[in-house]
Amino acid sequence: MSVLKADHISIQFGGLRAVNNFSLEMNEKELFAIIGPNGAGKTTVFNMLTGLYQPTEGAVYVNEKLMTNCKPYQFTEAGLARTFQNIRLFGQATVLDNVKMAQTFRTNYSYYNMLTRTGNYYEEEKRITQRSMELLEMFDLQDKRNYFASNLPYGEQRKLEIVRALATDPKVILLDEPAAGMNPNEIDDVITLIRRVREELGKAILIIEHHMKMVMSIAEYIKVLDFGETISEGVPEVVQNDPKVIEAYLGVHVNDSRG
Amino acid sequence: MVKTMKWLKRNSEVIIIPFIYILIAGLQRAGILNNYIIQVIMLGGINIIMTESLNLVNGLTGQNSIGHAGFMAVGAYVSALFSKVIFNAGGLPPTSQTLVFLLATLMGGIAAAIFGYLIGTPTLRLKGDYLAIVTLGFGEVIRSIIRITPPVGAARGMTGIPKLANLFWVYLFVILAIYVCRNFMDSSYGRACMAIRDNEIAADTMGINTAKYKIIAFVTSAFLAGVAGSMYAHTLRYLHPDVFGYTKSTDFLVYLYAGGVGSISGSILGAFTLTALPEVLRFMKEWRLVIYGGLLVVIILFRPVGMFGGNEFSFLKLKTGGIKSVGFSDLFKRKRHQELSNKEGIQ
Amino acid sequence: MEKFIQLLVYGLQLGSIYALLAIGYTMVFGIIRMINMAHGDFLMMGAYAAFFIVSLIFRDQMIGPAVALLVILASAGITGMIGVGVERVAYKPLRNRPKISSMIAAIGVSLFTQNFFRAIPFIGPNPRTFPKLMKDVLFFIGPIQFSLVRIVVIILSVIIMAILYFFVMKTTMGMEMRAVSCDKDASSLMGIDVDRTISTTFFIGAGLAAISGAFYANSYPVLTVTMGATLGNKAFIAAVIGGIGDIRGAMLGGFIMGIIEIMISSVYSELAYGISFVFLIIILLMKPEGLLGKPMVEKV
Repeated sequence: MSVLKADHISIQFGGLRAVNNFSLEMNEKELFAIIGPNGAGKTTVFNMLTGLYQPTEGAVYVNEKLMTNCKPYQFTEAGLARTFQNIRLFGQATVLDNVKMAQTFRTNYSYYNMLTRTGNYYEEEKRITQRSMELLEMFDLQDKRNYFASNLPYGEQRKLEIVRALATDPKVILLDEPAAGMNPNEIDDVITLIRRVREELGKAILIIEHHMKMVMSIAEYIKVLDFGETISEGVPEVVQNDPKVIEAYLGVHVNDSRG
Repeated sequence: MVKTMKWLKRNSEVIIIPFIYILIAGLQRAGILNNYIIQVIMLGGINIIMTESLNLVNGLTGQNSIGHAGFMAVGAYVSALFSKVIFNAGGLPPTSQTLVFLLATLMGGIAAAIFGYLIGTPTLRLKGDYLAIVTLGFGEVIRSIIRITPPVGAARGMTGIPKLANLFWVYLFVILAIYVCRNFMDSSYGRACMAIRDNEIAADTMGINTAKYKIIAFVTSAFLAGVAGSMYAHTLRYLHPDVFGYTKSTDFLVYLYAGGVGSISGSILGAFTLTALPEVLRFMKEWRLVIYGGLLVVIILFRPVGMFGGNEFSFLKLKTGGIKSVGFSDLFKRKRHQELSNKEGIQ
Repeated sequence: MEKFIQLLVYGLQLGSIYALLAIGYTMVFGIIRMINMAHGDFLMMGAYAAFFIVSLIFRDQMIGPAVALLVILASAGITGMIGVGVERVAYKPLRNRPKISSMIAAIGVSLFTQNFFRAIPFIGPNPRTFPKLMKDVLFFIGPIQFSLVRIVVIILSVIIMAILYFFVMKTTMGMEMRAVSCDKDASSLMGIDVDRTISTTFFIGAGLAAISGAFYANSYPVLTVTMGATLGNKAFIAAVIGGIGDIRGAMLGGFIMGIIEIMISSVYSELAYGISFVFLIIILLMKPEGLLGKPMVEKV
């Protein structure tokens, strides 16, 4: 079953066609990447895939559900989650609370139950806390559960973003530059983490990334964007050697007369 | 026996809360606290309810509502109208007075909640300063409408409201309001609101229907404000629309921020202290409001987390938030400067 | 018809007062993103300053228009300095804090100033009567009666606004103000003295408020310590309607507010204040950034 599908989506901002004719189809447990120079439209694609922007053409499907005119929270309800390029944690909340917050829509007690603490209020709270702790333990953040999210070191903040997205129990998770600002050790950790998410939790993953080594080592399929167009796509070996890709990044024609 | 003692120790508020009431009531009965002071205490309680309600919207959900007095006005006038009409119909035995009062309060709360819905819905798209202005505007519009409505006394005000509120009822509603807010905060609803406050876009993306929760916060807050309005009407027994203008709304803003925005305990402290302060300073006559204003600036400049430092009383047993909770005895100890980071708090 | 034109003139006059006041709100908001709730009190201070200058120096003499102008400028200068002082003490330390802190501080400043003025003996809580700054002359164009003073106020206000617009758009100092409005940190990196620019903004804003106060007091000659509050709120609405942060928006909004208020007051005076808010709310719901404002887009 396709967990995420973009069917020829484009978006136009006034006179600017930021993304043109982008298509994608991912199935369960697949790991794809979108790369491209800065300003190519990668985050814009993400925003369309998550409901923050509405494509002016084309359609997005999450778990085979048509998502036109849906709000972002509906995308999450349909089984998709994302992280952000500049971290968007709930800074004044604790690490644990951040993870709990992502489970709001899976919480099953009514307003009345909340006010009076009757019904399954206590059960649900316990269940959510437990599930949050399991996720935190899986990524070694449980000791810092009462720290304020904004006080974590940068690398752990990024980890928390991922854990939080996972708490929504998605089928597919979108990671926007998960390795940004990290040193090589940390990048290895991220690679391991992403692999665990796929193997142990069974999620499909779509990443935007600039670290080529990381992308080439874990992605099964890559799409390359430049100025909103898909200039190349395929398995890593193909994309790495595609002259159009090299030109987009380096701006130099491969067959130079001086070469 | 030992088990009961242990339970009581952990849930000491079960004893302390009634005790405070009995203490105040006793002092009143003994004539040590005169009626004026009792009324100040009751007004302090009403302000606590209002500040708590404002905390739900401004503190918890991070919205900027500065016209809250409008909801109080709706609650006050609707409940007063109800009880006046019933009483003027005549011939009610004293035992049913309580029922009338509770019904009036309920109606005041519901009416205010309806307004909360009416105002909350169109303003969902607005952010920050614009939201502030529109809520201010709504508050003033409500006031203007009351001013021109003859059946509720228009610009002359409404008199003759039966004296149905007393220390007991106000105290009870204050405690109820505190627990409502605590239950709200310590639940998925409260957490959703905090997520909206901290990062609305991220909240949207994490499956939180921001529109729904903003409205829930607004309506709950308006209901509480309506209840406070009913208390107010039946305590002072006279209502005038100009009382519920922008100045009153800013009062509650001041209590909230001075006490510590986002914190339930802070709202209690802020509201009660700053209600009592002008009375205590009354001997300074014209200068007391000058001091009041200056104090506000000083607090904001030098203690921005608020008087209570964003902490919460431990009796509230809040699981949300990593702030060290404060027990009653801690209040009397020298408070170490709270580092709001890396705290192993409650869990 | 005559009535309409007369009302229009009243409206323009009131509108120019609101416009001058609204410019102050909008300039302060533009430069430090803060709504100065105490701005209306600058109007009050300006009116009182003019009052004291006239009564202390000129006693009961009738002063000519030139002297009146000097008095108004003097009171603007004094109030401007007070504005700079307020900013340094109460707002500058809060620049990097959430905006709501500044709003609370402004509320405190407003409470403080209003009650301070009420408490000190030689101002006191009783209303004062503002002396006529110029002898009014009524003249007729066709069947419609005009008041010279009102027309002069409108013309003077427009001249002041034109000067201000020229200042902001064409001078170096004005450019610095616009730069700081766009990006405070980048401006300081470019060598602009941010503190001085902000102080200048407050000086101008408070000064304009003082001028509007003197104009207001000339037509509605009762001075009270709270006179600034209601006018301030209305001017604030005007600034927002026009698009807060945009000076032309403030001018436009001010005139719109003035005209609407006068028109509605003539029909149903109790409703005027409320209606102006309804108007505001409708505009904000339809075009949240105000009539001339630019929408703020949040980058995801």
